[in-house]
Amino acid sequence: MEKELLHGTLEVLILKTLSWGPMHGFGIGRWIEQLSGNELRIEEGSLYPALYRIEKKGWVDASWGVSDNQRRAKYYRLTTEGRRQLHKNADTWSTFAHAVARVLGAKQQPAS
Amino acid sequence: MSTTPLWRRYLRFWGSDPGADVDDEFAFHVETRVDELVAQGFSAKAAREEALRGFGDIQQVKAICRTLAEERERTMQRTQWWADWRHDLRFAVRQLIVSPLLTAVLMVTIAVGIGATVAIFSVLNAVLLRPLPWADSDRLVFVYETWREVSTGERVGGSLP
Repeated sequence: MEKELLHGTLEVLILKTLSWGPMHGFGIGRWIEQLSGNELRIEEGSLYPALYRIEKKGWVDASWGVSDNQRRAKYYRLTTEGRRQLHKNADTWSTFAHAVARVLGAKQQPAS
Repeated sequence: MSTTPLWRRYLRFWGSDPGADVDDEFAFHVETRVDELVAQGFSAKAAREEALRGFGDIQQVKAICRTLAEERERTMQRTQWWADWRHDLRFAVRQLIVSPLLTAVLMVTIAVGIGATVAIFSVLNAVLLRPLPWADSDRLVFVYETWREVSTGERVGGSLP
């Protein structure tokens, strides 16, 4: 359960970063870390399998390009289906996060 | 991201190689990270170790990615195959519609061909191939005898038993 939760979260975060434009795996990880205020550490060992999973699902498309440091890099781009999934999952996630925060922030025991 | 040079598109001429793609992608990641760490004052060796740390067991991660890429490739090929097939079928039907005379000739040819083959096979099947309608029909024999003239050795006739 925990593992699936993490998979799903990482996938949405990747979709979100790609909504600004195509990026390679290295840049995606970096973006997520920066945007989370360096609270999240994206392990490469989870990042790449997640990228390949969503590529297989057709949420992203990949093509080879040349990076800023003049190296051949695999760039991921959001597909129409990916954009749709991002909207759908982002809503689910904020509802979920909000609910968890409410439970953890509760001051009173619920009436039984 | 600059545009891809034109010649790169020919790299895919023999189809993609998921294993090599995963290797290249990971190599890019590690090299970029190493450069960054070296610029921060890490030694080359320490930078490499640090860059690889996040991958955990890199061979296992590569294997996972390769499997996912191969599965995706297979699905895409299958989809492509069916798309091509539908395309061919539509093209064939369109061609047949624009030349009705040719279509008629083709249909008559095929009809006569099938008809003739079926007719001949039905006869051969009944006469030669199907077992005769008696029990143990494979043990049925046809018995006859011939007579020879003693002086000349010539066959002079025979009779059914």
